Amino acid sequence: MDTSVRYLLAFAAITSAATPLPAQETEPLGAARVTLVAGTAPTRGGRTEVVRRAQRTPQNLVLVDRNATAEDLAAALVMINALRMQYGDTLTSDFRARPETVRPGPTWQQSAYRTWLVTQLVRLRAAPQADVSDLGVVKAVQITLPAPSGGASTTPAGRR
Amino acid sequence: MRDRYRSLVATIATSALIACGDAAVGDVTAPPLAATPAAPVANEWPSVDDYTDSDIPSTIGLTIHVDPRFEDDFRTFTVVATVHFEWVNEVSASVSASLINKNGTTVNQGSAGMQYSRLALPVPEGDTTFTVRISTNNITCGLVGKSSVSGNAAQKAIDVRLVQVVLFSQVILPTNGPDVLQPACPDPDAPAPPSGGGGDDFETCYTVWRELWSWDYLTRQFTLINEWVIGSFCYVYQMT
Repeated sequence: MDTSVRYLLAFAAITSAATPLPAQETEPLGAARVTLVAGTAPTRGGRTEVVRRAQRTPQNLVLVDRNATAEDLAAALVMINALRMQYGDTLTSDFRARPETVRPGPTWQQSAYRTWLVTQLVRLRAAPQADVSDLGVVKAVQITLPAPSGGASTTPAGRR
Repeated sequence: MRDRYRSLVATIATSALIACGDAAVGDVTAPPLAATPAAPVANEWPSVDDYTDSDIPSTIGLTIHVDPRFEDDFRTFTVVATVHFEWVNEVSASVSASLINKNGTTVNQGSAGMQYSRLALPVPEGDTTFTVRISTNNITCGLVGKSSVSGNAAQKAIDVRLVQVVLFSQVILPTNGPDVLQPACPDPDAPAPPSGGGGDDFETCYTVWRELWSWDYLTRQFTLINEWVIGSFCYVYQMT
């Protein structure tokens, strides 16, 4: 097969894969349960990694490295919101996402939300070991992520 | 000329006397009271003969589809009923909706109905939609939305005695729609973040991969069969 044809097919596959699923149109998003997991390194590098699973529970996972900060965890939770708004909660395939850059607002350092995230990181480090599906015996705690509100928005085109 | 005029007047007067007298009526017995229709249904439903003379089939149809869902950020429970009927001239349907909490207590309930009557031969088919909306009383988690629907459709006519009769009918007994769940209420073991972000924007850019996993019956575990990068995205979240 000609190389240019291969590139064309690969581009078509990626483009079709990026097409949003229609689930969000009929499925209102409520609060979501998210499992924070420590003790297994993010597979793509970085200090946090989001895994959304189509067929396995728990569905929403955040792999948290031991060096992760409140900003890293905030980025992971923002990614979960973004993926939920884009693809809904009824998935046909798994998603894995890794934060590249994080830019908090000016009042971030003093926010109650950041304090709460620090508390969750401490809670995770002190959590007992538990068996999580396909991850083995790891430290895990659960948090409740509120329904994405109207305040959330994607940047124009959403791609950089 | 005058004799001819008098003869004409005499003939008319005689005819009028005969016509208005009892001799012209003969013996007529009034119908017994019981045979008189209780309700004046004549000129309302079509007659049985109308059905016989037409091509109206006896295969009537009635289906009711319900679509229950939460709206307004889970503050309203809405049940939309779509009624489809075929070859009937009277249809009625009702839908009830209720909200149950985890203790089994009814938080709110409501109902609505429709009635359709056509005082003529049935139409081939028809559709109508109606909606029940009930408030969750500002409860946005932990409720179960339940719905129930029932209906009746009939071909109605009047017989030769002008009595209303039902030629064919179909009944939908009370049938439950699918339960709809609000999100689970926050679990003390799974705390939710506080509000109070002050409206600050939090921007993050990230890379997303899609993965296809398949259940392997031999090893009894999921196996990654394919993965590819969807792309890099940026997302701005406004802290509230």
